[in-house]
Amino acid sequence: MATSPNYGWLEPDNTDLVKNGALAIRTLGNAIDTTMATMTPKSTVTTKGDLVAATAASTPARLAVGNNGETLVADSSTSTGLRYQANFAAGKNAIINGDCRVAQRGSSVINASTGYFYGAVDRFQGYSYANNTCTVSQQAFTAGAAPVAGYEAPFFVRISSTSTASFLSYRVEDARTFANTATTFSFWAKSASAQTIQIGASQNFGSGGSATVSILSATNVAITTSWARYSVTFTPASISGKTVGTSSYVVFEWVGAASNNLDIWGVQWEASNTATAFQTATGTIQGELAACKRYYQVKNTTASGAWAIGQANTTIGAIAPIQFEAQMRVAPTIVLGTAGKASGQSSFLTAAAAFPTTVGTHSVVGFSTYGFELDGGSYGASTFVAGNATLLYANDVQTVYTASAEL
Amino acid sequence: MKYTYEEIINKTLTGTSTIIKRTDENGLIAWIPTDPANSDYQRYLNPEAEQSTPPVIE
Repeated sequence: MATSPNYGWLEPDNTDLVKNGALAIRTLGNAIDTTMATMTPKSTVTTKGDLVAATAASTPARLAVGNNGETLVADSSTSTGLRYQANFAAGKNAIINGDCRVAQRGSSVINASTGYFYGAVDRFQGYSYANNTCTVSQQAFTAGAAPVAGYEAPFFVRISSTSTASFLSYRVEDARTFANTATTFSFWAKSASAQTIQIGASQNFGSGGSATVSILSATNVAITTSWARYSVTFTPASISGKTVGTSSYVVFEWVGAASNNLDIWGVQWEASNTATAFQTATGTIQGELAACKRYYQVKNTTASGAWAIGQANTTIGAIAPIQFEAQMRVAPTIVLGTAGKASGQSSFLTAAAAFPTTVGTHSVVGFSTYGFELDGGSYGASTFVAGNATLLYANDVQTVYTASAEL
Repeated sequence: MKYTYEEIINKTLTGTSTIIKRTDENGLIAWIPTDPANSDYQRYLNPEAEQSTPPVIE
């Protein structure tokens, strides 16, 4: 007997007798039937764009086409190991400063008063419980010790406290963020000694908004003394029927043990069923800094010099409009540096490099998201000529103002 | 942290504005706009709100 060239089906030879023809045809037919049973029928795909994917070895199945604009991603939690995902062209990560690089408040912020406070690493908060001391600091990775090879992050955030009820917190602007969408919250962590922490999240609908809704109930995460990535997938509640008030947000919390440093890096919250590769919210160092300055910014001088131009509105005072380095979320709270002539103080000048005899007091008289008006009043008699320009001069290194539009 | 507050009406280049002057226990002064979206102004209006903000995990 001969065989077919591709599947090896038995066929009659050219010289076989006619009387064996029926048997030969049936043998060939059965062989074809057996082969065809192993093949994927056309009916597997039913819709334009459908794909055939494997649910296991030698087990094809239909993968329905996704929605317009979606991309196909691998996902081991689905039957085919694939799924379509809505494509977010920018802003995959809703966590600004997730790599902890920006620390405008310095390297460490210590708080011992009950309540929330913003820590050293921008956007991260601590919560001090019952006046316990809580510290949120920026720590430097030892070169080569960052958890993602090739990324080589320089910094991480650390919380240490004397109370188990104190915790690390993070607020994402707008309670609408990722509502009713499958999301994954991920981060790298390690601890001074192994501990099980809890993470959770809620939607806070802001002033005048609906009541707070828990969207991630307390979830245990066992942290070791080595850096490792942890993630939790959850779907924030729909905001249908809710009233979104002023300054709403989504808040995440990490609650660990007292007197046991908890280190966090690479925080990411994304619309995905799984934790994808970490990337910062903006993708650049400058972008992250500017994004942080939407909520908080500090202006420091690095040497003596003028840092603003004002106009004398009387003979004893002047006003200077100060422009922020990035537009802020809302008109911010301003803390001014000290008015005076001494090192570390600022004053309006009466002439080139000439401090007035008596420096007055400085206050804020107008706000916007773009800047504020600094008012210098109660300077000495006849210090200025009304209408003349005057420089606002910093004597040596100092913080001339901070502006906070935090949530 | 305990604060004392004072409402101040200031002249500006374009008119007048009401501003909240907040002084903390250490004498540090902060100038707060009367903007409902400013969280410090919200705390001024409702000083207990922040203390009573329920943690996510209790």
